Amino acid sequence: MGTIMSRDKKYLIGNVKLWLLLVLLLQVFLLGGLLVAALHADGFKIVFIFGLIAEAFILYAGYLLVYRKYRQIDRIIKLYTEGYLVDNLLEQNINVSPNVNKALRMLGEGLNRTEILNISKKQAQYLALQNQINPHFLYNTLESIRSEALCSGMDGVASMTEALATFFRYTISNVDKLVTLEDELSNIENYYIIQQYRFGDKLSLSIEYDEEVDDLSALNLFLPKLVLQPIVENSIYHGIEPKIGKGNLKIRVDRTYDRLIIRISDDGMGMPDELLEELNNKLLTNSMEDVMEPKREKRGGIAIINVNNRIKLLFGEEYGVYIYSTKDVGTDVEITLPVITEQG
Amino acid sequence: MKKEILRMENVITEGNDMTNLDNFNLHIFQGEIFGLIGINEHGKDRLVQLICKNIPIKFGRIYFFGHQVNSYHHREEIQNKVYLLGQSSRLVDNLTVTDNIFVLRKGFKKYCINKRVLANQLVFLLQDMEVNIDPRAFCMELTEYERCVVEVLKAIIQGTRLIIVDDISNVLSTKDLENFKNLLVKAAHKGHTILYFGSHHEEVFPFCNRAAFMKDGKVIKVFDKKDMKDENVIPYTISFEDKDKKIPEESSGAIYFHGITTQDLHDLTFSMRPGECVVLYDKSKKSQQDIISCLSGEKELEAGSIEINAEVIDKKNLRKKGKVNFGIIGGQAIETMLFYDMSYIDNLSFLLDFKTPRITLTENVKKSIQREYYKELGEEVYVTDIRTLDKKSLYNIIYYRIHLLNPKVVFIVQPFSNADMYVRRHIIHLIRTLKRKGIAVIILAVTISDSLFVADKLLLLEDGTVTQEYLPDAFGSIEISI
Repeated sequence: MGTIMSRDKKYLIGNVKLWLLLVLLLQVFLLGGLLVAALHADGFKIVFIFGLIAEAFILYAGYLLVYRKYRQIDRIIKLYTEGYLVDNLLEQNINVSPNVNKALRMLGEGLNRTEILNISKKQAQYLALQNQINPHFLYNTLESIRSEALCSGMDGVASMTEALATFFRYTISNVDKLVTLEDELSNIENYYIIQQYRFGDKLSLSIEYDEEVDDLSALNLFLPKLVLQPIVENSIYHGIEPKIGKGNLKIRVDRTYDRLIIRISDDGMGMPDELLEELNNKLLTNSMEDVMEPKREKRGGIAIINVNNRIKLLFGEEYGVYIYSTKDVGTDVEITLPVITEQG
Repeated sequence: MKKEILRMENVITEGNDMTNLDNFNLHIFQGEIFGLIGINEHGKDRLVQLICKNIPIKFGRIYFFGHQVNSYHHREEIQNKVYLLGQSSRLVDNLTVTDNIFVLRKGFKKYCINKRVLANQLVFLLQDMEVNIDPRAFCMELTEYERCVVEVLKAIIQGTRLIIVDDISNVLSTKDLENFKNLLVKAAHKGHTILYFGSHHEEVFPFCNRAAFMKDGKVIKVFDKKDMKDENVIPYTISFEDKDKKIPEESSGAIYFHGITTQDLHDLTFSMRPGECVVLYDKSKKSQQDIISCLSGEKELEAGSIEINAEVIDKKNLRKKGKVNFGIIGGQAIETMLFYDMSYIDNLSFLLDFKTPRITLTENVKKSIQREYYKELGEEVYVTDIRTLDKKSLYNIIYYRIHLLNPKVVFIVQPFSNADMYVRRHIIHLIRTLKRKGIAVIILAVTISDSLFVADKLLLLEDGTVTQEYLPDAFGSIEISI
């Protein structure tokens, strides 16, 4: 019995067993007490008082050992069923019994296999696409166009081609690796140069750092590649492009001891409250379905959800993306990342 | 490098069958003053509660000084090192400033208290913060400003990580508020962190490092210092313009205040017409209480008279004629002017029989009033338990009571205090309703920004005397201080 108790002690079932044992012991003592009481004058009174105290103790123990633990497990499962938890359910304290945990783990592995399979398919599709493009062929061709343009005195075409080549080189290679914030911001500046050929003065970009301290050190921090560019692209296409007049993009970088906070703001069209709430809820809950099978009309939010999912999968649910937006005023996308000072 | 004092991530809380905080996100850095402006009050109380104490939340995580103290699956059952400075004092009135700051704090375990040592320490602290308060003064003797300063010092001595300042602009005069803000800036420069709740951006922007608008239990926009400009705020505010027909200008009748002199007023003279609104803007806040005390009969008018349609009211007949001609809406009206055990109609018709003794308030009279006001107020006139009503409806009772009593002049003390943006708009509508009925409105204000939406004239009082008079065309030139 002792072995079973110690083996099961972190599980709900262990607590139930312990409580039942206490109830059993109480019954035995009460029965014994009743037998002894029959031989004494005040015996029944003593047994009654003792019984009341023991009953209160048993009820309190039941609350502590069984009910409270049950409530905790029930709350986590309820949140999971409502879609709130991004972390694996198995990482939570769902300790009903060792067998239930084992079954959950097996189920989780099965689910992971399906997910891995799907992701592998996506990766295969991506690799096929990459092979089709043949990056080196693309870079070389762009370089040729650039030199041709320079020879013909077309400086604008030359610098645009250079920006495009640099952008592709960054975007296509080593997508899964961590890069420095400096690299990410250079890529954004490059992307901005390309977009400027299209938007001209309509689009402006500024990057701000914490002015109080020498927080250019944030530039050396690592983050997943292509976290910023999809959001900047969203801001331009959904925020600034449909807007009449000039649009401003601002990237603000703040670094704390343990977090890197990047806010990308635009003063574009913003979004209605309902859409904002829907998007923020998706960023909060499991939203794999949108990533796996995006609906055409909702493509605008997919990039942000994708970035959010990558961050949460890599670093945990306490990091990710949150959106502030007001219709006809603008949108702020806040990205929270851990401070990573070394690659890998 | 920055350090986060408070971090709230995706916090969702529920209570009374509704969501208080809805996916709420906020982070505050050490040594910064963060202003939070509520467009409505939804979720504000729960937010304050949650920052002070780790009460259960439905979802999200809360970090205090880098340490996770609350989440949906675990919470630390401790109070966070937060000091809440609000409109009511948390000091012990019968103890001195020194005792309140040093003795009444956790971790103070001395059996013998050397008052001189503590007083010296306090003097050093006061000098450091450039504040002048007598360390031996009893807290009951302190002004509101001094009380707020002492509470900040107490928070600092207690080692509080975050000081929450909750809507104190209504208890401080403009000058005191400016001084208090300067004190907060000094405290922030020394590394203390402040979360400042305010109701106007004009109040918050000038001294905060960052500020945010909160609506329906979530932060809708965070402003960095550079973005804190009036034009950036416009999309987040609501219009206070009058959409109803223009208030007609009364040509007949005039109200004159001749040389009104009280303890703090000296020869106050001005005139107004029925249906007009005059704002008496006194930065020092002294004259407000004086005027109300004279009208309510607590003090006597020293000199001067009020002339309404050739009827003269002076100190001899102020009591008798005052109850017919004047109405008062006091400060903190919702707390002080309603009787929560009485029904809506009883509250609405309160004092009606006192003002016009010919009327006996029978059930039939009340029903008749209900029928009359149903057109304007709707179903709420039949409510029996006014505790179930929202703030707008409670203000309806107060202002429509004046509407029913129909005095010639109504004095309103700081009408917009403790009201969010939507309630402020409603109060403006109610004041306009009184004006439309031909009631002259005098607003006694220490803050003027909202009052200007209804004002026809603004009188600037300094040392109890009118020093400047502004008409609507010149309102733009007034330096608005909140």
